[in-house]
Amino acid sequence: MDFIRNVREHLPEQFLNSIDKQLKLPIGLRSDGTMVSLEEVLESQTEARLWPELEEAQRAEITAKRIELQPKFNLGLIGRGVLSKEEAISEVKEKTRIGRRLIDIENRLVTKLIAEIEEKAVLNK
Amino acid sequence: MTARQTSPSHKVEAAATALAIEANFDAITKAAFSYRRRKVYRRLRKRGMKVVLLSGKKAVRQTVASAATQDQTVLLTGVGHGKRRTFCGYENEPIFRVGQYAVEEIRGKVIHLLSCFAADGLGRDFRAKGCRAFFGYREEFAVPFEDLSELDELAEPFFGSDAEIDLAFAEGVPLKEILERVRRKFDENIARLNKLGKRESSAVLESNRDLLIALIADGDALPQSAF
Repeated sequence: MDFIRNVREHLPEQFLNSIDKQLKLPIGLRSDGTMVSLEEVLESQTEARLWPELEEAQRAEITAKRIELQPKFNLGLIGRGVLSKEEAISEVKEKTRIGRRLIDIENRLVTKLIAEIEEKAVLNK
Repeated sequence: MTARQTSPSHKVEAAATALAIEANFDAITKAAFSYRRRKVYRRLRKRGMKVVLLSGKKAVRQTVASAATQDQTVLLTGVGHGKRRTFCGYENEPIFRVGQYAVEEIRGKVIHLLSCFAADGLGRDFRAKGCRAFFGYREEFAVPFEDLSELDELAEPFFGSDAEIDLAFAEGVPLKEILERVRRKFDENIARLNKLGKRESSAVLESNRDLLIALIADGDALPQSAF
């Protein structure tokens, strides 16, 4: 996990542009409980537990915030209809089945993103 | 479509009919219908299949039950909301409910429902009552979008991945090989979305892929390890 801390200068600008939306979103928790964004992690040696080290409840907290911070959010569900941002946040906070699915989706996204950042940072060091 | 005799699972009758049920009444089912009308039904017809389309107000229990019992219907494909034991059509009117349909409506047919949960409850019931194969999802099929133009843009990777089931069947792909081909289509679209920087959409599509199952022959889903 240390591999993605303070590696911004090693990442290609084109790649950073492609993950622009992700940079502002939280990816970990400091010891005082505040969230840390991906951008902060990439730019410093910030002390924080990052996504892979977090427990389910903490991942739920971060997932809810990540959804909240998106300018627009709708999730069309064939089976139920369209889930709004507010409904999605509520599902995550209440840890419903759909809420757990949303956490799983964030897990897929963040895990791949971290792996991609590690790979690119190593290549460009 | 020409008759092929290579194996029972590969056999497709001449003048085969696909019965297409499209709930087509809200944003997500309308988007699915718009895509499938343009990109799927046309290709089924090119393959020689007759497509009987029941969309919107026609996607109701009575019309579906009548059309489904026609002898030439070999594929029943549909988009609609639902629950574990129910598949719904226009304005969520139940079309198929566990234990509340005639066996003749599904016997010997390949059934593909783009609907939530159907795989576990209704799908297993269809298999137990004699459908040849059932393709469906264990939970909701999800599509993320900021606005309707993005929903339209994502139709190809999302509804196109799912539609590979119908297209593979129409091409005569053996039933037991269809799931593998569909998963490859999902994988191609997941990679394409990643390449375009649409990582959020890619993660949702990957989640959908992992919820798709096929119930064939003995009623068991093909093992994930097979892929």
